[in-house]
Amino acid sequence: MSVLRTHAAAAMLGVSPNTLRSWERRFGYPTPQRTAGGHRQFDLAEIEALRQAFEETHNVSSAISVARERGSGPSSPTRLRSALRRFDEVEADRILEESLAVRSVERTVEEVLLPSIDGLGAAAGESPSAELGFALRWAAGWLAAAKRVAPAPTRPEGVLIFDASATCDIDALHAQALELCLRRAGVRTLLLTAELDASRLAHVLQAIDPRLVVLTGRRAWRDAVSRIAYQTRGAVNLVEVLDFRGALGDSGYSSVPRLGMSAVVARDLLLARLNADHQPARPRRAPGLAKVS
Amino acid sequence: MRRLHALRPAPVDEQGQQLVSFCGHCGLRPDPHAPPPPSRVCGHCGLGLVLQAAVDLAPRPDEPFLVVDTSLSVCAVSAAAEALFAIDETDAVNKHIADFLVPADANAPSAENLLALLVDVAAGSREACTAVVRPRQEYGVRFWARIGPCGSPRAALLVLS
Repeated sequence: MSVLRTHAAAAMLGVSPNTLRSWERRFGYPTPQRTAGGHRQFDLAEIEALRQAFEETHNVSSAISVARERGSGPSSPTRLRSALRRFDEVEADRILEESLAVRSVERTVEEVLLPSIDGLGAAAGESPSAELGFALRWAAGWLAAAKRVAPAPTRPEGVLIFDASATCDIDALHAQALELCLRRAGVRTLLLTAELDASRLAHVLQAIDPRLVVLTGRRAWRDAVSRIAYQTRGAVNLVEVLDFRGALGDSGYSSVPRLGMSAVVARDLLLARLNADHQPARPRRAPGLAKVS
Repeated sequence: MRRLHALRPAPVDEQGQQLVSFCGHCGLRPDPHAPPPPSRVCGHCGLGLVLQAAVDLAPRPDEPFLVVDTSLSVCAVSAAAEALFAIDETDAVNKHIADFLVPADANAPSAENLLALLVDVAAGSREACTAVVRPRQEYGVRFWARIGPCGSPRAALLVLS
């Protein structure tokens, strides 16, 4: 999503920043996001739509009406968030379909779907709103449908993702997004909850034979995640455990490599590791696997 | 630089009438000697776009006015008109003009019918003229209205006096 700070957006429209802020108060449009520091970030598509509407109308309110009706051009997180706030499932589906016409699935997920739901997030300690609950379920369904039509795996290596996120947690969607990105890249991928009994992972490790294990979700008991990492390392030879979106916290003592916060970046890093290890043949099965199960 | 701006020729319409600029919300006329603004948004109120109309037709800042397009939808409502009709511009935009104003003389011949007049003016097929109107659902109140073309884009300007 391309965003503009207040001064840049105001300059683009040829008005003062105060005028732009007064429109936000009076008309509720354009609707800026806020940075962590509280600064406004305007959606470039909304500003561009408004600028075009100024040429076609006679007043600011009618220009805003035109820009709203027309939509803000290409699908944006703002439009999707607005649809989700209205519980408008059909409109939300349509916005993502429009996005798929101009963006790849990965970019649609990264630039439209996830930012829109991030913007609905509840503050720490607050219970999630009905809008967030609806949005999470809808997005999980959309990602599951996209996963269902992903191509069959083309690579021999497997990747296992353990998701330790809580209910109504955006991290669960990021884990799903990573699984989708890896599957679309032809990697055998399985997403499991981290609440599994760590001592009973033998069957899945045998079936997937993962080369990489990713831990994600920040709301699990840390020792549960650590146990999974320990068991996996003990069960499978040459397996590498990685952290996606800070599952292991920021203590500074962890030796687990971090994949960052973006599913697409994480996918690229995982593929680079798989490609680097692809040349030499590695032993198929861990000799100590039977001991774990 | 100021002198150079002052030497710019005054804009005229197709009939050679001198045009003046005014804000579509507050009605203020921008300083003709000032350098051209970076956008059409009024630098004074920030709520209107700068429009142009013939000098005889253009409203004074205290005169209520509306802008209507060829589909008879309200495109702009001045601040004075908001106060006169007790409406908010955001609620009035895109509504039909007949929701706010109707002809004071219901028996007027069709050529003088207010709505036909507005469509013709907005389409550019009729010159500026005057009509007598009244607020909808209000009796005993009449306004003289100057009606003529304005733009851009082309529309009918209805100034109440």
